[in-house]
Amino acid sequence: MTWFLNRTTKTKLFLVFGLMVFFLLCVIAAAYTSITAIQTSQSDLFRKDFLPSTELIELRSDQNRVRAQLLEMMIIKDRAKQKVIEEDIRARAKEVDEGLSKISAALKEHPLELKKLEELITVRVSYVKSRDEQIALIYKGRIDEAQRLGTTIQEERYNRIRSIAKELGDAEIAQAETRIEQAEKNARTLLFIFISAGALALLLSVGLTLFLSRIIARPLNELKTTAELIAAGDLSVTVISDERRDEIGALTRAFSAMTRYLREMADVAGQIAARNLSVKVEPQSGKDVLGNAFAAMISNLRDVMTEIQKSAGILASAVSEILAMTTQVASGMSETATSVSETTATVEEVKQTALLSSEKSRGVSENSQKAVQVAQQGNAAVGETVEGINHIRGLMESVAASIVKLSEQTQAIGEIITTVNDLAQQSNLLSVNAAIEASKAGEQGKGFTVVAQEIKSLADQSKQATEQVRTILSDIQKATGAAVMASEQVSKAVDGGVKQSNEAGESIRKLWENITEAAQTAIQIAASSQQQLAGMEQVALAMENIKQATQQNVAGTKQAERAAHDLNELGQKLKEMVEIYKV
Amino acid sequence: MNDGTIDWSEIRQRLDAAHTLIGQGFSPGPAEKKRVLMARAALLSKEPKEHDAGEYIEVVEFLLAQEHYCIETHFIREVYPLRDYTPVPCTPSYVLGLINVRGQIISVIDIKKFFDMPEKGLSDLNKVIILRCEEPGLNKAAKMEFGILADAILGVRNISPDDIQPSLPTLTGIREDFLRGVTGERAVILDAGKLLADKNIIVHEEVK
Repeated sequence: MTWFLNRTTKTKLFLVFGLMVFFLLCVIAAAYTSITAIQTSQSDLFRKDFLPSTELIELRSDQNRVRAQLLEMMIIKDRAKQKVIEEDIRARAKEVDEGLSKISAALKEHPLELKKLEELITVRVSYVKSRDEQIALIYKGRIDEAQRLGTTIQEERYNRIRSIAKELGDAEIAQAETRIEQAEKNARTLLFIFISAGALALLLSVGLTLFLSRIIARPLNELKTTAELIAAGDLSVTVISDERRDEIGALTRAFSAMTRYLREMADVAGQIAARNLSVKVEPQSGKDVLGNAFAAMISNLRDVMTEIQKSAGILASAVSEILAMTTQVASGMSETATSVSETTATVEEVKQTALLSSEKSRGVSENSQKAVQVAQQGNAAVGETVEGINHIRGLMESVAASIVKLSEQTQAIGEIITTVNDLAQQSNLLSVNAAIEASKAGEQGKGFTVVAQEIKSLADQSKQATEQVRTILSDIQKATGAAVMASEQVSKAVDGGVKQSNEAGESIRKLWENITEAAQTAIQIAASSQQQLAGMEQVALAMENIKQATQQNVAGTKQAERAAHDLNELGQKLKEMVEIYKV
Repeated sequence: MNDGTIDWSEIRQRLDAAHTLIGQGFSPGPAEKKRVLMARAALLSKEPKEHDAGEYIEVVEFLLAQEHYCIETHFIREVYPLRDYTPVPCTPSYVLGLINVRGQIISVIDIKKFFDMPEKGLSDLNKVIILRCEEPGLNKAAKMEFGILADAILGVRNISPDDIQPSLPTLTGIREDFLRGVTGERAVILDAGKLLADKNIIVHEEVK
């Protein structure tokens, strides 16, 4: 039994259904053999019993017919017709012979009947012999003799054949009846066997099904009930894990493990519910969602509880401080009330002072407007100065350009002077040549000599003049160089002046801006002090209100003190509540 | 300007004066003219020097290496500025070359080289004194023309023969041969006739 239980469900199903199929095969084999037996008995019945009996009946009828035709032949005189009848008689006789041989073949196994049949055959041989005599007599026309033969011996023989055939036929029929009876008996037996085998198979299959159901379905059903209980949250169920080694056994063990695990988890949850956070959870594996979640939850709860406990402690201490504070505040409030009355008197004095400062600031505002105008004028003057200096710079540049042009023109003069010098030299040479020519002319050339002398002196003079001009030109050159340098310096100085005047302009502009701002500020101050005055009046009014409010505050502070007391008690309670948790 | 302020009115006056001067084309004013004329009159009114009539040698004075030399005018055809000259190959070094004077080809002698004097180098200011011998008394062979190179022409002077002193003992060598004497102003008078007649100057060389 345990062996079978330890097999897998597939093997079990194979074994049970194999057994049922084996039974089915047995029943089919029995049916096959029985049907074959019935078939053979039927065939025997037909071949051995019914066939001889019908043959015998046919034999009897043929015998009758032969007798009748013989009588007909006796009656009919026509020879041709007699011939035809004779042929017919002979055909019949042949058929009878064939039937006899068939019967003898059929009755081979029955010696008693065979004996009777031989007797019949002997009788018939003699009958056939006599018949042939009769036919011959008929042809001879000796009908009387034939008739006589027919009515005597032949009739006796005929009856004898008939009686034997009848006897034989009856015997065959009786035999067939016994055989049918036998067959029916067999069939009944077979039916009984079938029914009993079927019933047995049915019983077996029902038994096996029940057995299978018992060993497979019942444990599953039990497990299902357990699972339903677990699903309904009832973890008190116990799963009996037997030693079965098949899937059912494995399932049962797995179920048992699952229930154990769930119970552990439930136990942990119960501990947590009982405010014990020091419980430890060890997850089965990394995939243990519940275990991991529980571990994380406990850790988180522990952290949270620690925090809450700390906070509750802090809260309690804070609340006690608040209580102390409110007590102080209450005493402070009464002091404040007295101070407020003093402040109200002071505010009245300040109001008078504000009135005075408002008047003063109006005067300052007017003065600063004047200062703005002066600064604007200064700004405009500086702008003009810058323009003037820029104009000077332009003029200086044109002066420098003129001087440079002058210098270039002195160069041109120098070139001209060179030409003049050349001319003077040539004149000198000419004077020499003139003197030579004059000396050649002798006395007539004397006057010409004087002319030549004059030309020479002119040439010398012009040479001297060119030398002077050259000296002057070089002086001019130096002077223009100095002038250019001076004008360059002037230009630079003017640039510096422009820069400085620009800076001065910038400074004055800033000054103007500042003064403008100051003026605006002064206006604003005047307006502000006006507003201040108005404000001070409002402050005085407000101080009166404050005084009233302070008195209300004193009453309110008393209430706050009471509330702080209540809060302190609450904090203590909370602390106690939280401390119940074991962390 | 020195005292830092500019007297613009004075400057303007000066400029105007210069402008008027330029406008007048630098012609001197009547006062100036008179002054010049007076100076000339004073010059002319001077007593001319007393000298022996007719006994003058007219010479052309010229410079050679900072020394004053003179040549009598009747040996001189004319003076001419040295412009383009053509050097002649296969001639002694003292032959400078040829010049073209109004269509006439004249050879030029560098007399400084001839006299072994220090070189100064040529310039546009150099002049050529063209010598000519036309005196009938002189040798036919000496009747020739050539130019001598001078650094500058100083002019024509009249020299009294009495002023001519015998030559200096410092002047030696070839120069001594061509000297006529030295004037009181330390000007050396060259004997152009000898120079013209000198055989050394005639160049006769053949190039094979």
